[in-house]
Order: sequence, then C-alpha cells, then structure tokens
Amino acid sequence: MTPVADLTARVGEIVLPNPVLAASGTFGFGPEYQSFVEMSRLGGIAVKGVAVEPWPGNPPPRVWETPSGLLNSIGLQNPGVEAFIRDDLPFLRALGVVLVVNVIGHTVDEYRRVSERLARESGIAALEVNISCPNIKEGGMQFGHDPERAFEVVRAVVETAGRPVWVKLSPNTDRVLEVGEAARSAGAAALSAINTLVGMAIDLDLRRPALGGGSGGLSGPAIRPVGVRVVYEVSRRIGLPVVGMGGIETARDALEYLMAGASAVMVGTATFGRPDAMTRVIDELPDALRQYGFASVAEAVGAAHPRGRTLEGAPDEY
Amino acid sequence: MRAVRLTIVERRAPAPEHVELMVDAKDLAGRLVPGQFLHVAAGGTLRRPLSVSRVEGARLGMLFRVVGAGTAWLAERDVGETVDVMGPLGQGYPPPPPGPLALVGGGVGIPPLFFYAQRWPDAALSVLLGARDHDSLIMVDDFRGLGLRPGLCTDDGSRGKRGRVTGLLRDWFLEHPDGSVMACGPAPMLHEVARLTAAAGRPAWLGFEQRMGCGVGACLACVVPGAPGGDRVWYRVCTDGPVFARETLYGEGRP
Ligand SMILES: Cc1cc2nc3c(=O)[nH]c(=O)nc-3n(C[C@H](O)[C@H](O)[C@H](O)COP(=O)(O)OP(=O)(O)OC[C@H]3O[C@@H](n4cnc5c(N)ncnc54)[C@H](O)[C@@H]3O)c2cc1C
Ligand SMILES: Cc1cc2nc3c(=O)[nH]c(=O)nc-3n(C[C@H](O)[C@H](O)[C@H](O)COP(=O)(O)O)c2cc1C
Ligand code: FES
Repeated sequence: MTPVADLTARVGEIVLPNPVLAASGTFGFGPEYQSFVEMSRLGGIAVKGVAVEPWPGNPPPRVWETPSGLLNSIGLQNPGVEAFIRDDLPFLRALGVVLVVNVIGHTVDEYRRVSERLARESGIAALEVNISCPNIKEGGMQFGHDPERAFEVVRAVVETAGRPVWVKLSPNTDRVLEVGEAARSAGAAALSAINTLVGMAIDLDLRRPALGGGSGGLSGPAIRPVGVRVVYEVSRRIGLPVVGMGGIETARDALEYLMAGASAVMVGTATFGRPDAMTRVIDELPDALRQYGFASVAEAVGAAHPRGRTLEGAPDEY
Repeated sequence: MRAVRLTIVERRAPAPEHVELMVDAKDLAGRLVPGQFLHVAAGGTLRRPLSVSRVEGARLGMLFRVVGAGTAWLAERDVGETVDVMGPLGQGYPPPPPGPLALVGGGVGIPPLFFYAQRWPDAALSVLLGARDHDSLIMVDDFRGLGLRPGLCTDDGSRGKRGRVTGLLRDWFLEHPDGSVMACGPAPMLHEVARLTAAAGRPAWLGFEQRMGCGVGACLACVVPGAPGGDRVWYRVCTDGPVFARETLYGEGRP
C-alpha cells in the first residue's frame, strides 16, 4: 500500500493540517457556509477584511460574471473590529480552525488600531494585512503600490499585532517585488498573493459600467497565470513563505501554486460555484501529489524553481 | 443542507423564451417556503438564483426566462440530466394575514407567487399579473387551474389591460381597503407597490432580485439599501431576503 501523502503545511511558525485556506472576502466571517462546508476539515479560514470602524461598501451591483472569472466591487463592507470581536470571533474560536484575520484601513493609524485591538483577543493565528486599500491621505493611491507606504503600514501592524503578520500583495503594480521586500524588512512573517486584478465591464443595456463601484477586482480561473507568476517570483526573490491564490479550483491548480513556491494556498471564487471546492481540493491533493512524485506538501513547495537559485539575484526568465 | 443534484423529470416550454424544469426534489420539496430560492449551477463561474415556481408531490419547478448565458445553458438541459442546486435559501413570504390578500407579480416575479397560491388554497386571494407583452405574461392558466381569476395587464396592451400592474393594484385597494400585498417583480414595480401600500396604510411583503455571488450571506454582493435612518445600511437579498417586509427597506413613513 502506498503511504498516505503528508498534507501538513507550514507558513513560518504556523502549522496547518493541510495547505488549503478560505480566501478573505469569499467566506464571510465563518458561519455563512457552515451547512455546506465541513468547516473542521479546512486548513484555515481568512475572514473578510476588518476595519477599525464599520465601512458601508459600494453601491450594487457588486458582482459581474466574466469569462472564467468574476468582477467584484464589494468595497470592503465590514462591521468594524468591535462588532467582529463581539459577533463573529466566538464562533470562529470554537471551530478550532486556524484563523487569519484580514485587516484593512484608510490610514496607517487605522491599520494599527485594528491590530492593537485584536492583540487582546485569543484564537487568532495570524493577521493578513490587505494593503490594496485606498490611502485617503494620498489621494486614494493604494498602500500596496508604494513600497514606502507599504512599509509604514506593515511596520505599524507588526509592532502591535503580537502574532505573525502576513502581507497580501496587489498584482496591480509593477513594483510587487519592491513592495514584498518592504513588507519583509518591516517584519512580515509571510506574504500572500494575489489580491484581485483591477478590471471593468460595461452594461450594454444601461450604457454604463456594470458595477456600482465602476471598476472592480477580477478573480477566478482567469487570473490564475498571474497569481502563479507573482508567487513564483516573490517566493524566489523575497526570503518569506508565500500563501498563493488566484483561480484555484482543483488539486492540480493548488499543486501548481505549491510548485511555484507557495507554502499554502487559498481558495476564493471557486467556493461560490462549488461550496465543497476546498474540501475537494483537500481530498484530491494526496493523489495529485503522488501522481507528480511528491510524498508530502513540503516536498512540492518550490519544486518548479531552478535548483540552487531560490533567493535574491535570480534573473528574470521571460 | 448541502448542494444536491436533482434529476430533471420534465421540461416544459410555457411561453416563448421561457422554460420550466420540473425536478425530482427528494426531501427538499416539503421544506420549501414560497419566495425562497435555489442557487443553481449553470455552466459558469457563478450559480444563478431561481425561485421555486411550484411543488407537485416530491417534484419542484423552476420557471425562468432565457436572458443570458446561464439561463440559456439551463434551458438546454434535458429530462434525465441533473441540475446542481443549493437550497432552499433565503426568507420566503409569511402565511396569509387575515383579510383580503393581493398577489402582485411582474414578469419572472410571477413564479414564486404561483407557488404561494398553491401553498395557501384557502386564503382570500386576488392575483394581479403584469408583464411587458403577451408572451411574458406567464402562468395565467396555472392560476386559473387553482380556480383563481388573475387580473392581467401588459405594457403594450397585447394581453389584458394596457399599463402597469400597479395600476391594477391601485384599483384593487379601492375595493379592498383592508387588503395586504405579497409582491415580486422588478425593482421599479416594487417601489411603486411600496408607495401604494404605505399610502393605504396596509402591509406588504416584497420579493427582490439582486446579482449574487455566494447565495448564503458570505460575500456581501447582493445588497439592497435599508430604510434611511433604519438599523442597517444594506440588507442581503440572499439571506435577509429575498422577501422583505416593506418597512425594512422603506421605513415606517410613506416612501
Ligand atoms: C432571489 C431571486 C429569484 C429569482 N427567480 C427567478 C425566476 O424564478 N425566474 C427567472 O426567470 N429569473 C429569476 N431570477 C433572475 C435570474 O436569477 C436571472 O435572470 C439569471 O441569473 C440570469 O442569468 P443569465 O446567465 O442567463 O444572464 P446574464 O445576464 O448573462 O447573467 C450574468 C450574471 O448576472 C446575474 N443576473 C442577471 N440578471 C439577474 C437578475 N435579474 N437578478 C439577479 N441576478 C441576475 C446572473 O446570475 C449572473 O451572475 C431571480 C433572481 C433572484 C435574485
Ligand atoms: C467577493 C470578493 C471579496 C473579496 N474581499 C476581500 C477582502 O476583504 N480582503 C482581501 O484581502 N481580499 C479580498 N478578496 C480577494 C480574495 O481573497 C482573493 O485574493 C482573490 O479573489 C483571488 O482568489 P480567487 O481567484 O480564488 O478568488 C475578495 C474577493 C472576492 C471575489
Ligand atoms: S450573494 Fe453573497 S451575500 Fe448574498
């Protein structure tokens, strides 16, 4: 009998029973999917972005289907950190699943205050800093597009978090490596990538942008090659573990990310179509690993990297 | 509750561009409240929300208009194939309140109201149906089969009166000042129903559509605005609705 592949995944000091987590914003605050998903089997859950105060989000329509993908302009609607702690955290704690809280803000100080407040709460494995938020002090430019602003945000969260801090990279900048490096030097424990790609659709009947927010974030299988490329580069160039995501639907997709250098993966949009997408990836991963010659998740991580050139200084190959 | 595969046992073509799939619904049929919906896999990234149009024993119906890629994909399914559905989802209509009750349906908002009429055969029901044209005025014979005589209108006058179904409702209130309303249809129709029922000081429950992602309350895609100054800025159509008491979205005053 072939030995069962070891699915244990490590993201820095955090150990996950398997490498599959729910991606922020697609899995609510936990309870919404509980009658459709075997929650206790998940590698972890990243909850919806939480701000210091409630954010109202954007006007509808907030989603629009595109070829092999989805545009969304939810606008980071969330109830604020106090309501999250009061209404959602007890349920999430009781689940006993690795919990990652996604943190959002309009200013460095707002990010810091969320982190400070969460530091008093138990049951949270890591914070994931969503730096794809508009910086209201800099005319709405995203923190994640500017290495200096990204450094400030990550520094503020790391100083106050009291737990590992992951930084979620935006693919909408040609400075993604610089931003990743800034996050590392500010003390991030891991990077997650990618957030959605900015896009737009036009409603032909109404003669205006289809989404209430105008433009939106593209997710789903359409963006998988972009995610794989970012994970490959970032995992080779920055000395931090990477959590990969973008368009994962199957165990083979997850394996692609692992081989590109991801230590774990997140599944988002696929859950909308198939609520059991994550548990199917988990179920099918052992076979996929074995089929491609891996005895464990750990063995597959970075397997596509050229040998001996995993860190800085590697040439671009495209 | 899980996503389940239901076998298509009958495919009806009730009107041009409309298809009704009858599926073997196993234990699901008995648990459904009229106004609840199913989130149906339709060949794309996202599922499509569809109301239940009727229950016949262990079978249920989904009656939809072919408007885009997802409904076109569903329309091509044949007897013997399965459809993958999540549900029942959302909040349906309450049981009939005392007194006369009008079911006010517009276009593809009509199916959940037929299910309501089927579920509550002893209620004092009036049925008012409107659509853009003759072919879009669906389920008229189904209502007649229940012994009801629906009031009809179309935007172009090709069937029933020319005009909006809210015109029929205004007339109905003259005869039934103590009436209540269950409505489903496009947002402008529901706004007008809200206005009329608030002016009459009578209760109304309104079934809304909104573009959905998850269908279970997780993604916050499907929101409609709450009443100004009310408890919440937004309500989710998928879990807080699709059926809302008028006050929730329009407040206590007159919209
Ligand atoms: C609770 C609820 C119940 C519904 N019940 C019925 C019904 O019984 N019969 C029926 O014919 N239609 C019903 N609809 C509308 C139906 O969901 C849409 O017509 C359908 O999703 C269109 O999909 P499509 O791919 O063919 O069209 P496309 O326009 O190509 O769809 C693109 C995207 O927009 C969404 N979308 C498009 N139109 C609507 C709409 N009006 N409301 C919500 N989402 C939309 C689709 O789900 C999809 O994600 C209901 C909608 C809701 C919210
Ligand atoms: C509806 C929706 C809401 C999202 N909300 C957030 C969020 O609050 N914070 C965040 O960091 N990412 C958010 N994302 C991005 C996802 O976490 C993920 O990075 C992206 O969707 C790519 O993965 P996928 O293709 O598997 O969905 C959201 C994505 C979607 C589709
Ligand atoms: S569709 Fe996701 S919250 Fe309603």
